[in-house]
Amino acid sequence: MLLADQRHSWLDVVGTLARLGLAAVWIISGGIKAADPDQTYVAVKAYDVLPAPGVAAVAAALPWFELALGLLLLLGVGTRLVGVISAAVLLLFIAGVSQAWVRGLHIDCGCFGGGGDVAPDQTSYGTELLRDTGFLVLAAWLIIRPRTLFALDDVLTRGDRESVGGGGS
Amino acid sequence: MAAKSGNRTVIYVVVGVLVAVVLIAWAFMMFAGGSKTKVAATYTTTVQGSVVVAGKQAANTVDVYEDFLCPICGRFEANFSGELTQAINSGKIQVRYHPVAILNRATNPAGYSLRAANAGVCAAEAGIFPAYHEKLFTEQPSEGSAGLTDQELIDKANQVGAPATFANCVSSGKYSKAVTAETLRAAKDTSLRAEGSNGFGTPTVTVNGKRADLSDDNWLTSISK
Repeated sequence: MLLADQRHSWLDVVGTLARLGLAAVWIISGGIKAADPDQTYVAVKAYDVLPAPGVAAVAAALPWFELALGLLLLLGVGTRLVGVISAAVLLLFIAGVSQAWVRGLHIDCGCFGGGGDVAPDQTSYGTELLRDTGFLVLAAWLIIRPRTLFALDDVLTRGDRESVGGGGS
Repeated sequence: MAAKSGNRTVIYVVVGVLVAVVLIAWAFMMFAGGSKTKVAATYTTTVQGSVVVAGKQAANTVDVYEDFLCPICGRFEANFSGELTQAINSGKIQVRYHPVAILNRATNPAGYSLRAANAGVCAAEAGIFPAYHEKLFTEQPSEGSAGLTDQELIDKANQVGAPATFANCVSSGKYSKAVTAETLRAAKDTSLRAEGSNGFGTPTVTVNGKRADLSDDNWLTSISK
């Protein structure tokens, strides 16, 4: 019994770190995008998958959507569901970067960096994909085992720890 | 039952927050887009070297450095061209447009930036600069694309009423040398660089010789003179 409890708390700590780590990812990423809406618009457009109104709609909403995901994770509200949504968004990003790589687009504004665009050998698709995959692992942990410490889920679903969905199981 | 309602609450909260955030962001986007006025240019332009001088001598001089391929320049035009046109029309400012070519390598074949900049100066010579300048930005090709051919540059000018001389100005690259020289001058001019940056980029805007902070939405309206 005691052993089992200790094992649980160890996993809870890892889960908490995954939750807070993913929260930081979304808050930083969303914050950077929210601070520079034009750069965000250009970045979304550069993926070259959406028509102009779609680019505007995604660029307007994405920063705040990311910040909201980050905030929900930080508070620990619906950890498993937010994990699922995070994973879906990350998979979309990975798909976007991959298609740009395959098509040979060089995704960089080229406007602010010393008067020129990024040379083809300076694009970093590989690193970007690796990074997104790392974030995906954090999301996967939270989907499989959403129980973490200091989460509002404990309060919201109090009275039933055996439930399967939601966050508190 | 208690478990279900708890989980349901969580789902409602998460979905509610995310949907609300997206809807609010879109509402703001509509609001910002709707408040932008489209203003017809009533000013005339003259050409000095490769610089297009828009409007009469005024108390304030605004210098705008743009590359027709640069996506952020396209955003700059989408955000501020109405206000700029209004301020030039009313005589509050004179704008010196510097079409530059820093992204020549970003099209395949290379060189759209230079050909477009040349065409931009040709448009001023032809008396159609405001409409043509706007058109090249609203119908801007993507980085990494082929850009526009000379013929496409000419076709777009014809759509805004170019005279017959325009085609020759484009195909002969009449202002290409001057644009290249101006690009090199701008690249060396340290007063045009952003703080902490060791290079020149576009869009760069100066107001009475001082670099403007374009992230401040009121950079233009706050000009006091």
